[in-house]
Amino acid sequence: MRNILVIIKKELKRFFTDRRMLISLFLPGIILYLVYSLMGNVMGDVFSADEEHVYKVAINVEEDLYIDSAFSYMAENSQIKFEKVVIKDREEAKAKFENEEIDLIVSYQKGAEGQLDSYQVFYNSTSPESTAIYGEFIPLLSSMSATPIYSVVPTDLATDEDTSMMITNMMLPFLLLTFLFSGCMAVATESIAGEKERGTIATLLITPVKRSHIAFGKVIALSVTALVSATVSFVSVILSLPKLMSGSMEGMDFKLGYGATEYLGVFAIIVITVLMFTVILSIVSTVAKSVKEATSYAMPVMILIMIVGLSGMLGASSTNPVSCLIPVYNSVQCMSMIFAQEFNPLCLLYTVLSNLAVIALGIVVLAKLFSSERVMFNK
Amino acid sequence: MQDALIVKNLVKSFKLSRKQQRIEKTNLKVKVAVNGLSFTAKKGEIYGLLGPNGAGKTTTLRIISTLIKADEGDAVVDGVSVRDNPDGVRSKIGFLTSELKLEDFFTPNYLYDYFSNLHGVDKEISEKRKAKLFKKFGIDRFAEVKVADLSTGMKQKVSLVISIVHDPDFIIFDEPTNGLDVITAKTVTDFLTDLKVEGKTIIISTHIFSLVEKLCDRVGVIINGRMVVSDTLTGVCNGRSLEDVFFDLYKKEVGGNA
Repeated sequence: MRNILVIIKKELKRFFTDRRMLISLFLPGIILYLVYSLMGNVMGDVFSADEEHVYKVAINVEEDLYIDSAFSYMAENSQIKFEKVVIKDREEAKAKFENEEIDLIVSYQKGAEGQLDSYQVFYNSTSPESTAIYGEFIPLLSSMSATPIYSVVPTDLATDEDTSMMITNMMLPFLLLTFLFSGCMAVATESIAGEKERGTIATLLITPVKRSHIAFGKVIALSVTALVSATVSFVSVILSLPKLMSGSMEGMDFKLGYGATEYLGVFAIIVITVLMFTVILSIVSTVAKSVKEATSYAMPVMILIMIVGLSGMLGASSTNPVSCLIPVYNSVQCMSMIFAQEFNPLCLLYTVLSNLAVIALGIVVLAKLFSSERVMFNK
Repeated sequence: MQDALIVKNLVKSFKLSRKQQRIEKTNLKVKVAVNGLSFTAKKGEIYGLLGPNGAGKTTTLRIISTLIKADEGDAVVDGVSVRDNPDGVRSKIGFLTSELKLEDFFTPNYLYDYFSNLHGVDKEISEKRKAKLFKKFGIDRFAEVKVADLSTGMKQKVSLVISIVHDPDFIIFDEPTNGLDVITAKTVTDFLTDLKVEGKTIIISTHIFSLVEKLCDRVGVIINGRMVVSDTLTGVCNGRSLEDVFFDLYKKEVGGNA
């Protein structure tokens, strides 16, 4: 018994007095808290109404007690701005809906003998505006009569392609960023911190090769390796998404209407992002004394990257190209734009240029670190 | 004889972390590893740096090989200053220390070619030299075996060969026979003699008196970061054994029993 206690004491001392071990114990929980909290906020933002937008609701009757009551209640109690548009022809209303001129169609239909009257409501679950006004208006309409004298029949006009693209747009930037970063993390920590830890980097530093050339050579080789890993992940995600979606949404035909331009654009962003991640992780790995330490240092960076990746769930939040100057965020924004088929060449250009600037700066820093004896020979 | 190496007033200190302060049992925040060290090595000679552990031998050699920078002073290798032109010095020297390791994943053959390439050695010359060195050290028997699977002696032979892929005229060996079995150690010391015959200048650091007596033309004794004596072996020993001379110097510098 005494020996068991001695062993327990030693093991606990090992775990709770090692800073790195403590980080690895607590960090996953902190990451989960941050990621889930942010996801909650992001989802709240996606599904809540935009107070600046004027929501247009098409109805097929001039006057209707229940529809008018629901509108009046919404006008008095809700912050959102809306406009009632009377379009009697349903096909005309649907055409305007497809052109995004209106956000919701409410169509009154008198019930046949012995049947309830009904309100058919057409919305698009992939449109944030349509979803928002649907979420506000329909519960009101449904509750306008205390007794069931009419029925509300919702119909989602989103096509499988719309749904596929929305899911892709929400998931892919986050997944890609995470895959890219973890791919880079595995190789960068091993190649730089691993070489420092094993003492093989000193053998390289003793050659007449310039430190900047060593840094540049490492970054390129690591990027190529990480890019292979990222490409495999990207293709796997694209190929597995239809299976995942058809499994989780019965009857859905998952299809993406992206062409070569979109895929090339995404690939360009992947390449530039991988280069940037490699440079960042190379710096982290150079400062660290061992692979274990480099991985510990890289974890907070990964959290940050994941948080930025979650912003992709909001879609392309800004069409302002200046926002495409912010590293990492610009990659997410560009991917979101492409997946939402709102490709903006200027944003892609800004993204590439600003990320190239970060990469160049990173290589200069890396070369300096490679020249620093304090960093390269810290034990 | 022409000077191959001129070391002038080298000073190097290291900041001590709290952990290092605890280990060294000191409150000092800085440790002076090398303190105004000067010496000269002649072309075609073997110069031995002798001193106890922590005396500053390795720090001195690391400064000369440009791995670290001196706080003060300079070292000039074959007319090139380590302070002004470290890249130039690196192309002139070969440096072997137990701190320099080889990547486990690769074979001696691959690593030789890799470092030869980095030193810009012509492919044909490199192949000829590789064949000669691999045969001399018996590396040809395990040239395609990964470093991870080699014994300590084999690894040391590969490291030695790789440190001189570019056939430098100036070679620095830090504790070249440390941790080696007697047979490998003999191969290394014989090779140092061969290099001397070829006209190379060699600096070795060691605490093995017999090695210095057997190989070195000149010797410098470093104690507590200072060069206590630097002269020809005959000049330092003056008829006595190197071991006796060293311990007398040590007692004088440090005090008490050595």
